[in-house]
Amino acid sequence: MVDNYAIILIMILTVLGFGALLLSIGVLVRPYKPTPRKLQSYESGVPNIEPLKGRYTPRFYVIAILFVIFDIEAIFLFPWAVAFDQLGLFGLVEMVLFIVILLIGYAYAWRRGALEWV
Amino acid sequence: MENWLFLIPLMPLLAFAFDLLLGRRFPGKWAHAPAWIAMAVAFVVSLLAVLRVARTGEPVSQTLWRWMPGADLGGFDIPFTIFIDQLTSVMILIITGIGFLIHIYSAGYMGHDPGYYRFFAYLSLFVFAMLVLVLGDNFLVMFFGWEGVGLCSYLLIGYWFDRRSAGDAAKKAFIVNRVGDFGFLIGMFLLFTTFGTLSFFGPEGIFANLAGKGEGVLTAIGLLLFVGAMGKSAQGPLTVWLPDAMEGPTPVSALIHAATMVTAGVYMMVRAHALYEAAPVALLVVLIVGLATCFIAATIGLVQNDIKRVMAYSTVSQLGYMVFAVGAGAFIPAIFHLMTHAFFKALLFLGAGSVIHGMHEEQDMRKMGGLRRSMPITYATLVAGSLALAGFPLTAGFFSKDEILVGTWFEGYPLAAIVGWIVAFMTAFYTFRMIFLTFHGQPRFDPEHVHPHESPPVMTLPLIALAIPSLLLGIIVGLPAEAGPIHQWLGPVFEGGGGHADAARTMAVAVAAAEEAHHPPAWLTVGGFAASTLLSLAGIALAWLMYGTGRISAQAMGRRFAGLYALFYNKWYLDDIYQALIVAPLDVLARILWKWVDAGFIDGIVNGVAHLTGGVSQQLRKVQTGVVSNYALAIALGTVIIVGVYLLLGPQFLAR
Amino acid sequence: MEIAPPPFDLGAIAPFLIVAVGAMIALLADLFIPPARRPALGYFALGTTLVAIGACVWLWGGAVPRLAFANMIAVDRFGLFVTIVTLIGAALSILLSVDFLQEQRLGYGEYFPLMLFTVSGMILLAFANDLITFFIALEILSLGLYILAGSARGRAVSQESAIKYFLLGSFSFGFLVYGTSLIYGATGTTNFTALRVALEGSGLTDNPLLLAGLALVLVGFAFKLALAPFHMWTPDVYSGAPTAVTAFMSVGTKVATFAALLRLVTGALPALYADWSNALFALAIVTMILGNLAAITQRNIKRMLAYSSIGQAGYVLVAVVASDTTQPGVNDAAQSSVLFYLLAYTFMNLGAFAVVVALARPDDERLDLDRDYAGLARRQPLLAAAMAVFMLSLGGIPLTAGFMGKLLVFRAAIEAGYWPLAVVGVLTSAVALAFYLRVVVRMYAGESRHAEERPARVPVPLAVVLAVCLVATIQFGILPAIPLDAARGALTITAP
Repeated sequence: MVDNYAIILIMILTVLGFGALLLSIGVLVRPYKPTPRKLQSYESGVPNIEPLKGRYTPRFYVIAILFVIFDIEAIFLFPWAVAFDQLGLFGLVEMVLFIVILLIGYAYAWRRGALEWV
Repeated sequence: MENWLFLIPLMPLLAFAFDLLLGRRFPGKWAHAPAWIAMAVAFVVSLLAVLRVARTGEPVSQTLWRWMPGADLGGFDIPFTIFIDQLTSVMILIITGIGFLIHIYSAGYMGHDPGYYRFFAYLSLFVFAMLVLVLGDNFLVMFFGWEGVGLCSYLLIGYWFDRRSAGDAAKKAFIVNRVGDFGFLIGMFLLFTTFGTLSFFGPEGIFANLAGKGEGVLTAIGLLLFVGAMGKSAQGPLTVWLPDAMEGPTPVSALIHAATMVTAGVYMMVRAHALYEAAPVALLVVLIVGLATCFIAATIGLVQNDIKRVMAYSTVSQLGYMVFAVGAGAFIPAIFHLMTHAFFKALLFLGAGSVIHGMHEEQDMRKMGGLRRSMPITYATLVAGSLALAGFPLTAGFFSKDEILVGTWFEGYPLAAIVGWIVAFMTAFYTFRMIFLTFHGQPRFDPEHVHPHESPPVMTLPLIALAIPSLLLGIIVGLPAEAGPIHQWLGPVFEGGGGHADAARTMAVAVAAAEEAHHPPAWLTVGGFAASTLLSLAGIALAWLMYGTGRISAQAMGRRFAGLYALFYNKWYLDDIYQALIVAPLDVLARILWKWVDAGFIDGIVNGVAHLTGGVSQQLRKVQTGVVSNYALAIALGTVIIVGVYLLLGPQFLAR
Repeated sequence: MEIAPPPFDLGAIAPFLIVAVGAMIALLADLFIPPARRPALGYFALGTTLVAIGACVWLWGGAVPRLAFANMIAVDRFGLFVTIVTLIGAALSILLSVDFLQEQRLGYGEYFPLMLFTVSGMILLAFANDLITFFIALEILSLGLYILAGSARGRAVSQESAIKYFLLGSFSFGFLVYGTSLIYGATGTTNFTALRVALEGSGLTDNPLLLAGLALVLVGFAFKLALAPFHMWTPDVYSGAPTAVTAFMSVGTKVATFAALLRLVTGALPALYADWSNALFALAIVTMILGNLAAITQRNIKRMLAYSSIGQAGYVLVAVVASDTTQPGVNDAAQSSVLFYLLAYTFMNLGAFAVVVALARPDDERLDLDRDYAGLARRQPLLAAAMAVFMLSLGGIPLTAGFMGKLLVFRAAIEAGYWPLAVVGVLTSAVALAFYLRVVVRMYAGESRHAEERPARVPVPLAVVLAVCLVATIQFGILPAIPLDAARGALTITAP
């Protein structure tokens, strides 16, 4: 019991130590010529401080939600596929029902224009 | 048959709903049609039910629904059951039969009234309530009808609500009846606590479980129920509303205040006869009150000038006969008289209505006279009714009244019977005083302005239809005396403690047994016949001498007995006594209560509570900020409290 | 590992299936029919609920009680009774909405499909025999309601209502899920039947994990039922949502959730009676007092009805507290009074909302008690009379359904020995009369502000709703035998 926790502790210490080591090497080796732009923290190339007026189109969210739904469907399909033989006809019917219900939602979203990006 | 009994009360109820909701627009002048149809159907169904009872000798019943069976309120389970035995049969035939005739008559009498539909709606509602009263098989359903007829009586007395006197009379009737109903209600509570049920019959019912209950409590119940009966049947101190009730339209007086509703008290006591027989003290009180009422009302009737008031006091007096018959234990004669009285008194009222109609709403007999030529049918039928009321030999009233008196004597109250005969004499006198004043002698009205005329057939036909039983009913059901068909019919009701327990016993055997044990001796029967005949004829003769020929001066009589005259004319000062003893002190008390107790003390408390709750409510509004995070905080706090209490104090932290 | 699929007992969940499939059909149909024909969807939804009621009646006479889908669903008369009540509420709400949506120019959108989805959630809730089923049902129900509350897209209050409901709902469902997991941690099961077996005679009843889990689950219930102090969202949400949605929300949700609560505490946790009854006891007292007191100062009829519904939930809770399964007589009286009260409440509350709907105008919802209800009796005597009946019934005046409900509830409380609950209940009922009767007084004694305008025409569907509610409210008050018998017949919670 305690051994297991000890391993975790060693792991945490190693990670912390390794990070600290790398960072201190960087500090020692790199040249240091600060400019305002360089001092900003980096966020995927997008300016990270902006006025609040900026808006996102809700389509992002719609797409994201649709992605999550079908992602989860896929996750649900994997264990089903693994146990397909044992579940037999029952499993098949259940899965078809599941997909049909999802498809109804999909058809609804499609028809309502959730997939059109204009 | 059993499955159709519900039609009897339902039809008038439907007619009521129809007329009240649509009456003004759709039937309009035809508003009587639904009521007529309803009454006719109710009468036919009643008749079929009665024939069934006659054939089998068994009561019929139909349970419509049970009230709150699952609520489990301490055995408070009231079945709404329609129950028809021989006693109920008599009542429903009177209600639907006479009711039907009066409905027909009303179409003529009320024809020009703007509230035509309203009148028929109320009248139908009354019939419904009255039927519920007599059809119920427990006290609660009976009470429902009891209150219903009271309400309808109020509505119909005050039907011409633009007349102040009508409004006052309606209020008086309602308030006096409330006093009686209060007694009835308390009696019902006492019944329920004593017996645990309000049902009449069955092994669990009241009448089957009288044995072993204390006589004291039974007497109390009997007296309290009698208070209710006094209110409805205008007995004793509660008579005062009935004469004033004549402010209502005449058909109403005929149906409600003569034939049906006012007999409800008698019906109730006869229905509960087993209970009363177990409480002799209560019966004695009933006897005394009935007898006193009978006598006093007759004396007042001697000197009244308003034609309807004569009838009203005569009704009170006749009800007194029935009540003291009940008090004496002569139940069958009481119901017999109830039945004959329903016919001839309805006839008298309708006839009086016809006179009033023909005289352009004149009710004072001093302004009539000599009407027999212009109103021959009304005259003839009214004489028939008067003969019955006066107890003229071989009319219906003769037999029934005679049976009451003989029965009372036989049950051990000869004094009461003698008073009854005196009243019979007075009855004959004032009845024919009315006839002679109205129809004989010279006209005392202004022929220039008043043109008396006979009423239309729609009014006279019911008169004729009622006149026949008024004359003949006694011979048909009353002979032989004390053992006629009416006794055979009602006999089973009074066998076996009223519980209809012994179903196997046939009617004939029961009656034969009753005759053996319970039959007045021949000398009493014959003597009663003789006394009744003589007194009746004497009363009529005196009236003829005073008002028919004028041989004896009425004025002179009045002067000679000025004291008595004043006493009678002022109704024994009953209203004044009430004014002084009850109304005035109550008025003062009410003022004190209102000014000091109510406005000062109680209002203070009430307003204080209102201010307090209002203030708390105002504070609560401030908590409701509309900010979501505050709401979330409340949820979180509540959670912390519940979880905290569970974890810190452990289970069962609150005592049950 | 061998996997044994459970038997495929679709008949057991027929009402749920009918409504859910109906919802999907309505959703697809919505895409293909022209906007002018949208009201037809309302009648389709109505038909669906009626068919579902038929299915319930069919099941009532069939093989019940039984368990289905690996014991996650319990089909019993209790659930069927509640389902029928819910479906009646839904059917009336749908009728209520058809003209209201058009009149208020709210657009039909996905209104009726959403309503049906919500109803399917309610039905599942009534049958849920497992904490997981229960949670899923509650989510189905809630998600639909969140959107419905915001269905008046152009109105800020509606948006506010939806977002508040959503935020607070998710927040409190967090507690619910956490509580569920704690109960699972303590007992190793989420199934109601298994829970009861596990707790009987075990030493688990004092387990802090279990008690904390129970407390958190109760918090989730309390939020959904709007029991004080978890009620704060109710007035804002109820008054912001379109009136027809509020009407639906106030009856259907309460009915189904109370059923689930009763099933959980008496079906699964009778061993913890002392614990949950004490917590609910406190909640009931606070709810009755707060709900009724706060209603007094409301001038907006919808806010007033919102607080009133809080108070009413308190009265139902009184009977839940009295549901002690160790005393069968008391328990029967208590549970049948819960069912009766819910039925009565459905009719009288929907009726009151129907009057509010009937008065609404396109430009003005007419919600102010002083301004819009004053003198109503003179302008629209029938509507005013109906409203008076509903107010008197909610206030518990004799000869109405509300009176019978209160009578039964308080009687059950007294029989179970909880006389303080009955006392507080009667006192708060008296307080409640202040605001219920004020509506009546305003209608009959006030001066009308809209005297000059023509009275609103009451559309036929709305008139039907009013008539049904009126008849039921009065009939249950005068002749409670029929619903009471049904409620008594519906007391079999969960199968072995």
